Amino acid sequence: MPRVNYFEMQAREPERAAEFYSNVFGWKIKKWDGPADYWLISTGEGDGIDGGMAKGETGAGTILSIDVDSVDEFTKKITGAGGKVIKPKHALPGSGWLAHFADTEGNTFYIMESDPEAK
Amino acid sequence: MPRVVFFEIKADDPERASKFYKKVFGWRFEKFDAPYDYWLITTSGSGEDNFDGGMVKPADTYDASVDANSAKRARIIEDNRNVNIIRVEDIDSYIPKIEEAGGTIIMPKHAIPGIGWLFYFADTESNVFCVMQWSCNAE
Repeated sequence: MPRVNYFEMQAREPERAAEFYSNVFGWKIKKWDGPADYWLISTGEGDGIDGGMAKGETGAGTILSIDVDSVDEFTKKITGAGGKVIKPKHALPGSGWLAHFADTEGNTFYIMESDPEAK
Repeated sequence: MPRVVFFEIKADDPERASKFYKKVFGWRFEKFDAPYDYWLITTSGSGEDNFDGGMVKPADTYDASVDANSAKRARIIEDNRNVNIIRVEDIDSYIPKIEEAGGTIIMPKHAIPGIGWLFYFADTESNVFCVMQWSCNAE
């Protein structure tokens, strides 16, 4: 089954947030070596998931990412079941394909299809 | 390190939401015997105790009697539709750490009997997380 394997949060001041999480939980947070202001969060080993942080306005909370085999196939399933597209399929170059949705209750989530050839 | 091990989503209509996730991703939902309505979500194909998420009604995620700021706290929790749970071994040590680092405790430590202890905090950017210590002796 497609699983939740990543969380994402936003921060007006990502450096301040990174300091908060490294002080409190010891998470290792480093700036992504890519074309956007993005930080990768490593929460450690064992059961659990890692996350990321984007620079932006907050208030919407964290967002889950669910890994799928095919963004196209799941886009159809999601809209067919009453979900709404927030941002349609787009490439995360070198990593994969992403799309952003809201469920029937207003919870938002990403689906992600890994594909190193994506551009 | 304490990791994010569990996710929680909110639903005004839990039946409608569980239908959505069953239909789309095949997740399993099971009503859980908690002090309020709660559903455990299993996203993996195997095993019984393999739940990794939960679903709750927004109104059950705060305690209006806690203090005078509860309306504000309720709003922050409501804005944070999805809350991730960070598992720790020593929950009490994290409350002062979070406050010293600039975070705010949104819902104080309380027990889920037979399951463990938890509290909710907002970070410096208003993202909410839940910190939980598993303990079958919690009451």
